[in-house]
Amino acid sequence: MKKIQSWLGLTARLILGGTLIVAGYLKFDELDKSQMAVRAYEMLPISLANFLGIVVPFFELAVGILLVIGAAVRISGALSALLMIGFMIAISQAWARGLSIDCGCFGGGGQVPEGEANYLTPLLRDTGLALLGIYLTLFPHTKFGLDKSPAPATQLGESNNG
Amino acid sequence: MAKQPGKDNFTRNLVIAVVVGVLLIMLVPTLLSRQTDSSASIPANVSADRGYGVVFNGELTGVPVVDIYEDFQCPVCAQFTQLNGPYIESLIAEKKATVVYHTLSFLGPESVNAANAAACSADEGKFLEFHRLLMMNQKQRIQVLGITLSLQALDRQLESPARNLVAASTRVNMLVGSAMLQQPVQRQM
Repeated sequence: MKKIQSWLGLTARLILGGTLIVAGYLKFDELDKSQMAVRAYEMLPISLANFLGIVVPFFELAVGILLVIGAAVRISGALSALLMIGFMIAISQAWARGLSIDCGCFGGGGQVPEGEANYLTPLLRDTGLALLGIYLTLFPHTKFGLDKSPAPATQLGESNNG
Repeated sequence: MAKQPGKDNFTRNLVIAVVVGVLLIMLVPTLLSRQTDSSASIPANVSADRGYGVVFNGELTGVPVVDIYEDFQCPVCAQFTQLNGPYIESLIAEKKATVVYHTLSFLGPESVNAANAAACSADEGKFLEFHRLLMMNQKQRIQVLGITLSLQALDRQLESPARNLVAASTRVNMLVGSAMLQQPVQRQM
């Protein structure tokens, strides 16, 4: 069981981390568009949205890299789950308010013609990724990671401090 | 499970520190370089003599001067443009009057952005098109560069040094010239 779990954890790490790195890299290339994408959700004050538009790609890259190399898996998993939940809130409110925008998940973003906005796919994707993040938070001990394997008695608390 | 060799905390912490450190080192200058520069540059065809309005036919003498004070978000201004805009534009085209547009911003930060964008478009010789576009579609939700009826990115670039102004003007050109804006929807830069 433990063995399967650690392989599952590796899979989760690679999927979540890989997605984050790709998403972060594509936005990192065009920070203006990234800022525009965040503003388009019309959820935050413009200055804060611009700030996030710059910070989020870097954040995604950092967490993604940490997940792929398997360092600080619990913290990175929790952070990426929180990020995904944030994205889900943003997308849901845009959907509920009838905004016609591109999610800007992998670069791009901004307003799209009526009827072309697609909210279901990003929502489902983010839900899946959030679940992976939660899984990694609960079971951070995975195959081929840099994190130390737990001593049996201190499995949840002490092994991952840092 | 026993302690595995080679998996010491030092390596792990070093890796974490390097990843986070490198990205932070890249992030901080990026953030700083995008701070708004408060010394705004003024569009070329704007002067203190005309109250910083955007001037058309300023060189003519002996013709009436029409001063228009308006906010891009003000409904009555939009009504005015819908009723009289074509006439005023014809006065400009036929050189029958000097027209000065004073783009005010008494309706909030979006108006500031819209006015700044208009100033950008004035530098690009597209002020009238831009003005018409915003005024004629005021009641619709136009998102330009991610802001409803405002242009934060352009605004920021307008306030940055001149090299950014060039980029901003190019973008306004694309905005105003693009078929997407006729819809009027801005899809991409």
